[in-house]
Amino acid sequence: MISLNYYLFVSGILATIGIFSIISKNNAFSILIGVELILNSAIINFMAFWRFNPSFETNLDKVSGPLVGIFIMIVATCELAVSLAILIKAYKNYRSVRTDFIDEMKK
Amino acid sequence: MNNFFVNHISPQYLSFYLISLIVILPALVSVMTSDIKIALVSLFFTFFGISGYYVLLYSEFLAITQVVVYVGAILILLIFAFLLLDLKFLKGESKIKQKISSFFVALMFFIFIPFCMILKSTWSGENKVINKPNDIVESMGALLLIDEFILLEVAGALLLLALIGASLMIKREK
Repeated sequence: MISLNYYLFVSGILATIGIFSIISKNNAFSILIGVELILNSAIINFMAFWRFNPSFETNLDKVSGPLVGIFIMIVATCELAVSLAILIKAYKNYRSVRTDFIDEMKK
Repeated sequence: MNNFFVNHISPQYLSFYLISLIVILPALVSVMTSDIKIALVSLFFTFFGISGYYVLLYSEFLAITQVVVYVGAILILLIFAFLLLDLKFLKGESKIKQKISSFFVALMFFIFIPFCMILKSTWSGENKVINKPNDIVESMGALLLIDEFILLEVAGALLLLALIGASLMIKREK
């Protein structure tokens, strides 16, 4: 049986890739991609810890991993919809989605 | 050492390594490239491969949900928004200083998460043979619709709010 550490390693690597994407890129698209990768790694973590939980006693224990996963997916969908709306609005005003061009509030 | 190889060449391990290859390599490609087209297409493989992990963790339900939500909705939404924008305004490299500093921050996380957090900890439930709950969908339905129905209501309200907010935000002003 694959032990817990394997899943944690993979999710750690995915989270690192997401963090790198967020802080190294200048356009808003890549930042959104990084956020999605981080959320996915969080779901893998939740699922792995649920799987290796020794007790499946109550009804909530049986499904807590997939339940949290589904709610993370719901939040990710909402976040993506709103942030894409913001992005298109910013594109209309600035003709760009690069984060170093959109600096109206810094001035 | 010999025992290690015998243990690690089983279908479960081989499929785990294959899935890890499918997940991590395209994720790296999508981060390294400056072309967003390539990034979005390689993200398809990443999201699809992650559903394989859920199959290995005995949750087929979440695997199907992953394919439907991430590949079918989120990725298509990203590609659709990408098509609405002009391609040449997305181009442009970030500064070399920012790239180097962000590489070092990511390297720090890469060292910190596996070696300082995961390997140093002892998990109580590890390596135990676990009885598989084979009625996940049934338990989830009972939980969401009877016991904890407020969760489902809140999630529905959140989705509705996001929908209304997004469509209000991009409404054309007169």
